[in-house]
Amino acid sequence: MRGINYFFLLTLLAARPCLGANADIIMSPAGKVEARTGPSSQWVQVENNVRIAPGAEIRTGKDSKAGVFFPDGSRFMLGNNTIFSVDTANKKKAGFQLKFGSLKAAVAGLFSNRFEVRTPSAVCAVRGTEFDIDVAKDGGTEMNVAEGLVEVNDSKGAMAVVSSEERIKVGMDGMSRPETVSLGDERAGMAARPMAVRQETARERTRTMMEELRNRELKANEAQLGKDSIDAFGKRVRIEEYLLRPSNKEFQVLFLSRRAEADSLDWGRLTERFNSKIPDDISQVGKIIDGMYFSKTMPANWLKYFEVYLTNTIDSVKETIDFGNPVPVDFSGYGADIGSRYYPSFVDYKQILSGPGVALALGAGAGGLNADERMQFRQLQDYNATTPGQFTWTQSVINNLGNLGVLEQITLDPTNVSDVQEYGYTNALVDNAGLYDNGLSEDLTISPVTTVSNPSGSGKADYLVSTTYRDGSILSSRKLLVSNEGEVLGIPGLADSSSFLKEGSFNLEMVVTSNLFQGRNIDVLLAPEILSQKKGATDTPDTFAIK
Amino acid sequence: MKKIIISLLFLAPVCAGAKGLEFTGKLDLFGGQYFFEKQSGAFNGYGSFDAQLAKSYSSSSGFFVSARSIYTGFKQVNELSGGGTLFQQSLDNSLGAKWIKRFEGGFSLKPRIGAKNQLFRETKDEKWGCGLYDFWRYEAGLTLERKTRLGLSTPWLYQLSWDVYSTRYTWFKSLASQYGQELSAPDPGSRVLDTITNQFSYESELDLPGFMKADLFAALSLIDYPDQKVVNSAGSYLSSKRSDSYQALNLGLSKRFNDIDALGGVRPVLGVTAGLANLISNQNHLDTDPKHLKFIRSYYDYWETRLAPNAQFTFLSSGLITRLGYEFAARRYVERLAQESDGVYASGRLAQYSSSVSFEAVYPLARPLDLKLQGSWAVSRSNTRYEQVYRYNYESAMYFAGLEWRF
Repeated sequence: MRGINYFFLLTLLAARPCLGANADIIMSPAGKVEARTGPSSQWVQVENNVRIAPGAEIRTGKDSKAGVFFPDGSRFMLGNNTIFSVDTANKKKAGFQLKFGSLKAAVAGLFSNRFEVRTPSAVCAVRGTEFDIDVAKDGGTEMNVAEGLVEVNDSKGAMAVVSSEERIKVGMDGMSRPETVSLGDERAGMAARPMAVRQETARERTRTMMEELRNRELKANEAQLGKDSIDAFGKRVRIEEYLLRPSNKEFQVLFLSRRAEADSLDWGRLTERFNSKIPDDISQVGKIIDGMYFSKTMPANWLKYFEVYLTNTIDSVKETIDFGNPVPVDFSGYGADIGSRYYPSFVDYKQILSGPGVALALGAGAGGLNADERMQFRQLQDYNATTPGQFTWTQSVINNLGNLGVLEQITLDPTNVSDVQEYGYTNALVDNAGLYDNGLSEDLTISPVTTVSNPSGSGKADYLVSTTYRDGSILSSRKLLVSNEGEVLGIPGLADSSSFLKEGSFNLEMVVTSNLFQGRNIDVLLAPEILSQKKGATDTPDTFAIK
Repeated sequence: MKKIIISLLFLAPVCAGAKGLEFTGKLDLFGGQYFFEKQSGAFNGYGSFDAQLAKSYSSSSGFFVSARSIYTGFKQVNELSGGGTLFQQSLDNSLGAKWIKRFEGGFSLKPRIGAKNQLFRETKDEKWGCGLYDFWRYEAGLTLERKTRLGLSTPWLYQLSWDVYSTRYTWFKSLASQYGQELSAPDPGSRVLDTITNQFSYESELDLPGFMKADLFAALSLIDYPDQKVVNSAGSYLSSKRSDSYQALNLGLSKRFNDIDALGGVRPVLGVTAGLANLISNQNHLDTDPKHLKFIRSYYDYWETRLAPNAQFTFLSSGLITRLGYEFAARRYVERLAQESDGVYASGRLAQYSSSVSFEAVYPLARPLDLKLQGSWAVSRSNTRYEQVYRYNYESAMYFAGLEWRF
């Protein structure tokens, strides 16, 4: 026990983390210990710590021992009746000889490039190790490695790496195969010793890392599928979208936006219903929609009904479009060679609000709607029904009494070259907004006031349209393009309605507010493509280029 | 869990004073920052406590308890950044116990149990303990180890392990399961991220002559998603549940070379690791985006390869250790298609390539205390240009510096 404490104290003395190889090697004797500077020198008894240099030899007597301490924290403990020498001690090689006796070593491995202990029968290259060596009178060497690795070479050229809790015997006639020490052997280490625990912990973490990576990947997959995002206001939004097939003529896309911290759910639904059966592969329906406008022949199938429904579970805004069956229309105004093309006989767009606040508004429930619904806006485009041989475009809004009244009604003759130019028209039948230079003035009982602004200023995809109707109801729609980080997309100049129809690497956040929503709003993240489709369906023929 | 670990932190040194108990571990305190493209996260802290308390009854039996707690105030480069958030704080607590029973002939049997809890804050309004991706994981495992030799020259240690992990996301439930019924939404399952993994692995370590080490790790993981239904091409969710099989093979080789006689002596250790992995899943994907609705079978299946050379240089005169690492990884999905910037599906399969460079310097201030500096830079590239919901092409970087105390 005394020896152990003594050993420990000296270890602390040598406990600087690392020193250059030129630093001293100290020998500390206990009992009868002699040393000499070289083979030709006289043995001198050593009683205090001394520096030792290459060429030095140390021998210990009966019941005596000596410690050899290196600047990097490495140490040898020489047992009794031992002869030990220092051959070299420089950066390239630290070589020692154990000619006879025993040695216990703890080697940090930083003192020199190669740390070697030679015995009469073996050369032991040390990696960073605790081991002990016994050399018998016949030169036979027995080495036990407590911790770490020692590379052992014998005189016959054989080599073995000896690891923790292994022992090897090397005789003058060569080495035997290293053996694992028996668990009953006093040289066996403890089952849960620190080095073993560290190694076991590291191996376990390697295995567990597989599961860690899978957890990370699950999270990334959610993001890759667009299910996890940050909105423009810094709130985490979970998004789920589902495809529904209520019938073989129809599909719906249901999109849910959940903000857990606000405990809110906003959801929406896109519905597309066709005249006849649509393919199982829903990706084909885009071609059907394209084919219903300006087809030279009667389309095989066409869209009958389109709906975007957004709600915060209490209030909602619903935009619906009903399409009439395609009819042949003479589009010669686009060019003599265009001739007759098929076009929906009518396109009827409606915007309907609902909710408990809407139920209290004037005109709620009118027109066959539910008691908590009110149509706020309608745009009907028909061919040949209102005005023979022409398209009639009728826009109706809520007036001061809460009734839907005609704001604008104009006609478009598809055979007339000037009419089919963009924003061209033949005749304004009604002009209550006073938009056209025809002597009619704005009717302040019906003409709503619309303001447009960019809340984030110029250079950001943030666009707010607010409409105040003459009954005092206000409906605002704010659109923002946001990254998954919630950063609003930078764009050149001021955003306008067309800024949100481009597909790109941003989510569309749409915030609908109304004073009829009693302080609530509807705030959904959705794919910009939904808006593109709606716009495509509600464009008037004068905005098309016919091929 | 947190209380248990804090208690352990204070009790462990006391217990360690008891006969036969050994307490080891380390404490890291760092500060650092994360960068994604041209954005930078705020400077924040990183703290890690990692300790083991061991008790040996004899050379043949003993056990140890390990506890680890990590707080990260900034994101790491190795997080899958493309869909994540710049802001991220996480708290990771784990506790485990392992029994070690050794037998003659180099055999050991090591059963273990453990639990882990990970908490995230990824938006500024997300509160601790309420993170969307917070999870608990319960683990158990059994390892059979053999320490033997490969011929005369080489010690050989190998382990055969079976580990089971049950992961439960505390808050994550599909929205459809919560709100979908009244909306006639399909039922994709509720706890769609929860998994039960059975992992069978083989690990082998060889200490080769000439200061070389070689290791091999092979794993087969069978991952069940008990509450995630398989989707079909019509958007319907079937009664069958998602089931994945993940196979991985990693090889590592390192060698210590002769000291370089410069700057007071420099000891180089060079190494390389290579890996091959493959995931097979029965789950499909239906893209409901109205503009490009698409059904993709076996959406998650991929092959991945990795190659990572590394170098360590120890400056013998000062004790400074520097590590440099590079990693290249390529992942190719078997069925998942790349997309153009407008989301249109391309004909080629999605491929992702990433490269990262890491640097670490460790300077010993005293025997148990190191000053550490780490930095990483990574670039990710892909043949997909559609980045509406996830960034496939980006650069990220991070650094952190601080102190490590080992005890």
